Amino acid sequence: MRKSWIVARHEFLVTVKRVWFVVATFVLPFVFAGIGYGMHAVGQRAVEDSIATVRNKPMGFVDRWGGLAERPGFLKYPDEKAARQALLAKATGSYLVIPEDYLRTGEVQVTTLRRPTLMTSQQPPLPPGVRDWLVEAILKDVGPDRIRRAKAPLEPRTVFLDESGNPSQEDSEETAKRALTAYGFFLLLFMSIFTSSAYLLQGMAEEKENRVMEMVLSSITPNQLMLGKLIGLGAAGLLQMAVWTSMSLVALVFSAVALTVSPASFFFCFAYFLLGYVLFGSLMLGFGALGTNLRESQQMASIWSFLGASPAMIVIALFEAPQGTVARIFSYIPFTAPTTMMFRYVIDPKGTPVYDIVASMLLLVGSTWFALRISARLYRAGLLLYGKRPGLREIWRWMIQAG
Amino acid sequence: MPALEVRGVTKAYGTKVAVDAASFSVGRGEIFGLLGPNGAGKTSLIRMIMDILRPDSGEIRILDSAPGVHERVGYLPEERGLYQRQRVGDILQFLGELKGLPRHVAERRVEQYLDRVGLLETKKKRMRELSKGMQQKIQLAAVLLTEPELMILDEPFEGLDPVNRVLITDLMKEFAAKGTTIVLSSHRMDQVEEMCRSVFLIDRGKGMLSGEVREIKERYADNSVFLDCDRDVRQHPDVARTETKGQALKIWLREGASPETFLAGLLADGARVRRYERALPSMDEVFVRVVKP
Repeated sequence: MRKSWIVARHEFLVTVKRVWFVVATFVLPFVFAGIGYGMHAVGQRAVEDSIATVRNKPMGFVDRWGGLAERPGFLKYPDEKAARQALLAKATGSYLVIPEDYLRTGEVQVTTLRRPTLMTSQQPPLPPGVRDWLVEAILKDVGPDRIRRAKAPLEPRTVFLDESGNPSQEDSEETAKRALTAYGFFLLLFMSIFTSSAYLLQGMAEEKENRVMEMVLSSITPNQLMLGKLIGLGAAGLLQMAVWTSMSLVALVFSAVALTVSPASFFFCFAYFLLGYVLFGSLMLGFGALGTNLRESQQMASIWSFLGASPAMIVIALFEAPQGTVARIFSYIPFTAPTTMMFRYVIDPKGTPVYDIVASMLLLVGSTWFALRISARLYRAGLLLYGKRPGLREIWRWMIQAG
Repeated sequence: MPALEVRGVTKAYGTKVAVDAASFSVGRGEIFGLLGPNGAGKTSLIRMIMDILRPDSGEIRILDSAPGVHERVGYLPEERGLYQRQRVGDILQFLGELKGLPRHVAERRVEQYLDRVGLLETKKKRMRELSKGMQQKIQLAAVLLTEPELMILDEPFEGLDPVNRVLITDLMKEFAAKGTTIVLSSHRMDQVEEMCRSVFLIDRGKGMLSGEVREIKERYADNSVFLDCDRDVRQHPDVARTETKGQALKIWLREGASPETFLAGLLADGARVRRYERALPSMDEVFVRVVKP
């Protein structure tokens, strides 16, 4: 164990002193946040600019129905030809044609020069107030209260009941916050597990490429070496996760967003990180050791990254039904359990059954133990393998051979 | 008690037998040569000695076989390198501590042995900044700094210029003089001949030759002598054939003729003999004769 600690300390110090680790830990979150904010702002601005070409100009209209009253900001044209000429002359941003049978069909033709785009195709090029204007025209002889209600017929205030029939304390705003927090934990856990595992894989591949392995193995057994690496780089991963979590908390405080997450969530995050990291880290080390260089090692280990990333494909299902069948199946599969279970618990702590948590943890512990045993065998066999990639039969033989 | 004893060690990879019942022993304080052509099984044998591989059968005893005995064994493998992106001092410190040195001792020894190989100024440099020869010397420093009782050096002169070869040779002799046992695996027979008292030659997994260098050379001697004298002996009845070697003549004596009686005859004839010496084969020649397919 003493030698594993020496390796762990060495791996930890070497990793945390790396420029890339420092950048990934302290700078990358700001870069990602900046890029995210920038992309959102640029997109928003593009949509606004696109809509402004319509909204900042008067709207023309041709009233074949005959029920529309004149209104400031709307220019009446006798026919569509005149309305089109005004549009082409940029005197208006768009024009409406209200057909004779408007009351029966409700169909209104909107004509504009604006090109449809991904973000604006679902938004008709209408200036504000068009709907109110039409509602007022339809309800010409009705009192103002009814007109006001017709403009806004529904102000929903939902009451949620819990399992016992009592009103729940949660509201929509809190649910949205929980969903965002759960997604944050999901990303945090995913990034931490796979960044640490990637460091493990990279370090091991470098040792093989640099031919340093045999010298190291003359002083330590492969199992001690693997344990030391898992501890050292796991500690580096925990440090990174702690920094990212602290940064997120500071950001939340500065944005005055109330935290909707229980302390138990942090405990589960820690536990699932450890189990997930040991599971994926040992598999990546074991299978990565079979490659003869970094590229081959990455190829050998890529299947595990793919499996680990698969919950991202069902994230919408997780948002909508955190206790649904899909979410529960993913909670029992060891490769997807850490992120899925974490997500389910944070988004719906009261609705997540305790036996789901216990069962997923037990399955994960069992699988991690099994993965460690298999990986240790592959790691031992693969470490001194230079220049020759083993075949599937050979890999299988190493996996089932003890000692 | 020998420093290293290998008894009937066998190792196979699938159906290929890499080492077949190898046996030899190395005395304490001795410099021992482990020889063999490429693919002979030397590396497998060394890896078994270092407990990196387990033998299928046979026994290996190192020093007093106490628990953790491999911490007292220094190993320079043939397939070697060091962490390219790390600093020289940090790497040596790490390898020293892995061999069981307390941290403060390792710190002191790192400087001491970097100085011994003439590279103290590289302590803070990254490995990739150094030349191949310098990296070789750092690797040797990593072995020396643990001051092992037994050193196993696989091709230690590979990639070194003559000046550094002499430096390493002197260091090895110095350690041997202090009682360190050295197992030297090398293709350079001149070096083996110069440094080793005994050798073990392995070919295709089998031990082909074992014993003291002098005795082996005697065994493979072909009844020839070097002679430098004032007589033309080419027509002498004891001479089978001759070959000029610088100032001297190499003479192969006929079967039945002995170097002693041949010399006695020359002296009795009043010949002035400037040089007379048994012509023993070089280890290179022995190696080629033994491993010739």
